[in-house]
Amino acid sequence: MSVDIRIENLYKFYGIIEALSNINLKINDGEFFVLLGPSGAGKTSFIKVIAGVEEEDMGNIYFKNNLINKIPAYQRDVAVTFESYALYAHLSVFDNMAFPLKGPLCKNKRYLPEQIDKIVHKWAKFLQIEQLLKRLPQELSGGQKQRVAMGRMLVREPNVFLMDEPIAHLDAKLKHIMRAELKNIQRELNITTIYTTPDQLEALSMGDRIAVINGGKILQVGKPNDIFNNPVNEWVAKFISDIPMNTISCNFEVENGKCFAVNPHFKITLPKEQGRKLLNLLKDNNRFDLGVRPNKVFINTSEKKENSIPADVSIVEDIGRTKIISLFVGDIEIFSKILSTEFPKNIKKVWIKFDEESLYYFNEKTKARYAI
Amino acid sequence: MSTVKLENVWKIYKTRKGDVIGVKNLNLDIKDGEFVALLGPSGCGKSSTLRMLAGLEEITKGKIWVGEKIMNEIIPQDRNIAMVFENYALYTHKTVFENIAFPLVLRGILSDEIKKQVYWVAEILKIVDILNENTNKLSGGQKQRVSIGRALVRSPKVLLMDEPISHLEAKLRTHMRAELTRLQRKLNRTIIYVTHDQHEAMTMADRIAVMNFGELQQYDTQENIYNRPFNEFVAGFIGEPPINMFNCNLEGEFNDLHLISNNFQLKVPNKIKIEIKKEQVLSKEMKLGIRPQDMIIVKQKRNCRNISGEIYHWEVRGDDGVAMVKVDKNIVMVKTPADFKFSKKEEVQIDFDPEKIIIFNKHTTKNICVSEKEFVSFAEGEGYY
Repeated sequence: MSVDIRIENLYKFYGIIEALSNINLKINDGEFFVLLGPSGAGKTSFIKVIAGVEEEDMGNIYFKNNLINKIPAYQRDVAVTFESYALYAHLSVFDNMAFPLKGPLCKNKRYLPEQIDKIVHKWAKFLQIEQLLKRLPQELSGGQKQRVAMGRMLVREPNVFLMDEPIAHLDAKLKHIMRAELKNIQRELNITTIYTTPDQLEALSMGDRIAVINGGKILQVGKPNDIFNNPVNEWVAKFISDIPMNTISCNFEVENGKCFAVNPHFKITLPKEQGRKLLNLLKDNNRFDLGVRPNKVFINTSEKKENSIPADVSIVEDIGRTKIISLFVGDIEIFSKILSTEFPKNIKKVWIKFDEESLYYFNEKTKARYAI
Repeated sequence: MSTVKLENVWKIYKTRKGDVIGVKNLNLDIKDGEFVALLGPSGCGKSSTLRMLAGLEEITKGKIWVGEKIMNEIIPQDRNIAMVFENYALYTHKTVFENIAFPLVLRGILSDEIKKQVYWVAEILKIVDILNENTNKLSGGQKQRVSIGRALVRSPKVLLMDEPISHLEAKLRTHMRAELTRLQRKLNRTIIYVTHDQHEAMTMADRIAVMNFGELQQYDTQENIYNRPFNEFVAGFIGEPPINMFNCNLEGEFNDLHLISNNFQLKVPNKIKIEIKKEQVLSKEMKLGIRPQDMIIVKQKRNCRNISGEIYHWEVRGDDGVAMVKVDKNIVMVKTPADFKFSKKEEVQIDFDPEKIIIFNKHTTKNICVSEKEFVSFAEGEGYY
């Protein structure tokens, strides 16, 4: 039985440190919900509080409208997997998976050995690890271990899955496959899942919805596309892309009905409609931060187009079929990400142009995004 | 003069269960002012190599040269090699200035001279304004700069770095990468950099030494490692998403070579055909490697090289996506645009750029377009005294 989760005004302190600060979330039944944030953001604290391993200092947690604050961890019917798998090294895969069923308190039920056998085999088959049941954890690969850890969660048929950075340390190849596998298992079983990760790629590719967390505060909740395309502020905008968004402090100027972003090093025209909206939003203030993602910074070897800015090539990083180029416009560093074939070798001076459709505008002081 | 040479270097650890080989007959030739990355999965011997260079571990067999000197018998503090650690290893009760000055204080250098030196590195690293701060107040990036400063202040001949930025968050890493490259250019020091992150190695290093199980797999430029990997391991370790491999047979006369697998057929393009080394083609069984970046999903079969499969999963990750296609029982990864839409289990065709393929001998796992000579000269360290 899967449940929906509601969290109201949740706080958690460690001494004077605010690990979780006024968290309000509603997680839908059967949803794959990703908590994304850097290390120290409060992700693991959140998982621990939901699991009941640690007590909250303020606020309420509801599973399906039932307040569970005072319900001990073992009665909450949540299952947790950790990054380190936490398998019992001296027990076989079978015994590892059977372990939760042998405890006296699993759903206040006692299972007979035949029942345990049946349940373990059912889930081992589901996870395609039946042939491994007799092995010890040390005889398994990383991906297999992770599947056994999943199996140990599944035998209890819990209400909620909590996964704390479960695939963070796997190698790149396995990570891809495990991402797909976890997502497919979750979809098939339709169990409410909270998944934490510091990796924006994982969050974007797996989450039905993502909550971005930093310093114990939730900054934004939304669908992956939404967060990627409409980040609430500069911090989220930079955190959500693999190469951080470029942001440049600019002055807003109007001349002859045209709007400009002006900086000691360049002056570019803003698209008419966007400029007009920005004018209304900025009011008396004329400072703002202009944002553009590295893959929307186009490079020309000669000054062709209007609005292009001369820049010095500082560093060309080559990764397979793409290049990441660090450019300097005066003392401002701008990153550009382009296909390798588009960039000639040994060139020092280029002209860059920002894609007009992909410009972002941020408040200079609060760093909040202007929705334009 | 600060070239570095490793000549038939071995590291063998004695354990109760017998000998464990940490590094196996390693030959490396590092030029003055070169930035070399040692890249490999955990346990591949890259850190052992670095520790032998620093003098933190004994060299079991072989010689290590820095410039004209053999380092084997020289104690760490006399080697004039500095090291930067992943966890910074800063003195938390000291200020930034005191941390950077520490190696000079130990050497009994006059305080005026120390001040001059510390300011010199602080300016290069842009940390002059935090010199009086306590280190525990600094951000991760700042801490790493301080620890690099402490290494540089001694003017070492060689700078060793052990995963210095791998634990920083992505945002900071991009900046630190560019900063380290710029720093290297400014200082022109020999840098040996250990990492398990292919991205770091590929973006920063002049040359990369890929290692696995204590053995050097390839020592080459970024471009060659990506486009001309010596063997299957290097091909699989470099590239994101990882390269796809297909079993197939190489059939036909030389001027009409075909690759034939259960799923597709392909005429070997001329560009690749002329590079095939005869001595590498001992049997017909091959493995064909194709990178996800060089593949595309099409709805209709339009060529006999097309591979049919069904969509197993796809991911959108902001600006682009990756589709996983089930071909027989294997998963093939294909890079797609972000707005690509499929339904699950949809039947699709995969097409690829035939000129970008890499062919490996199935039994030796070696790239058949690289001559045996290159492997040998490489293993024996040609170009040594």
